[in-house]
Amino acid sequence: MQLAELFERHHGELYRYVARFTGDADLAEDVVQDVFVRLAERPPRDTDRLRGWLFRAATTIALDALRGERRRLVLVRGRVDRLPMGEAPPDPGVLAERAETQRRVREALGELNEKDRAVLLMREEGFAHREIAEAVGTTTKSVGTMIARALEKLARHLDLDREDTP
Amino acid sequence: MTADLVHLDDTDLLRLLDGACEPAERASLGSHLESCPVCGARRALLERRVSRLSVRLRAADAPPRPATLPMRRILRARRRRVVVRWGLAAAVVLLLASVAGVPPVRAWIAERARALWSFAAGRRAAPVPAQPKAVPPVNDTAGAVTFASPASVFALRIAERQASGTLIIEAGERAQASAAVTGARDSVELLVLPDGLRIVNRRSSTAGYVVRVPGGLSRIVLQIGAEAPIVMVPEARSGRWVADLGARK
Repeated sequence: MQLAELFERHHGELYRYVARFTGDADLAEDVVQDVFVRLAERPPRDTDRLRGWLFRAATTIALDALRGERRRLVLVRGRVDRLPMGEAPPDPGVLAERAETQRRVREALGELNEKDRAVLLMREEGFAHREIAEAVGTTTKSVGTMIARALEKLARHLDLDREDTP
Repeated sequence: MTADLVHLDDTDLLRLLDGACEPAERASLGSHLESCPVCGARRALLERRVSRLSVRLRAADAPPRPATLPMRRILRARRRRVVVRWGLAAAVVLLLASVAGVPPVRAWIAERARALWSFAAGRRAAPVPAQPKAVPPVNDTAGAVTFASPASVFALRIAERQASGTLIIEAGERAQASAAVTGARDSVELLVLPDGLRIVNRRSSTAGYVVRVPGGLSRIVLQIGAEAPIVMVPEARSGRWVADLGARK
């Protein structure tokens, strides 16, 4: 499959995953581009598992970027994400509400360790435990444990068990 | 997995929810869930959490952005990859060329090439002459010694220059090498080594030496004391060299 086709197919989910993982949409954009540059430079031998490879590469690059840019991330925390060009500016109240939701979710995800966060978010992207285990280098059973641990923490931080929570 | 009287933990319940269990394990967990309301309630709670988390994550997602493949960077990376590959290939070729320049390797390559040529020509390759086995050092007791010569390079080492005396080296049609002390043999030893011969003499010695080696050697290397080695390259299958071992003034 051509690179452009792969980019078209996987860019969206990779961007969403990395933006969630890092809490920084700008950084996510850079990371996704780096992933495809790496794919062009050193493509994996096993193309059957390309999707797992892309997410694993994205996680590695994102972690490197986070470690290098931790200070910058602190400065931009709480910022409202840019809107796509041409979209009408939403109501300020909606913007504020979205910003608050983003802040809470980012804070909650930030409480997880990097591995648990990656595992939980890869599960959200529809990966099977076996695929996640391969991507993060652990056993299938450990993936279940990590997800359970992450979910427990997020349930507390985001009030997921409240009866009126949507 | 746990016994029926013990409740399932969240890991098992999540693996069950996500379809990550083997069939036997799934059957066993399912059977426990059917009879345990506590675990059933816990599973429902986990299901709710998972579903609510997805909703929250989506609500907090950054808006999607139009993106294009970074073609310029990709082309640059591909060019870099090509350069690195060619660089590595060139390095390997240089390394092989320099290794092939070393005489023993060159001789080995030539030998293999001859064998391959013979094989390609449909003939049975000539047997490769066996390398002489390393000979344990032998002390000369009678002033003469005969031994198996190295196949390609013969190293002749003389401990030091002496009062007077001459060294004669003869290459000719013979299978083995030999050495003999002429004149005063006192306090001189001939020591056979895997790569040739060492003559252990003394500064006061006046002995002469005749060393005979098989023809067909690629080089004969003579080293006297710590002096720079003298390399002799036989041009034919026979030859004769004479060296004055007297101390230089």
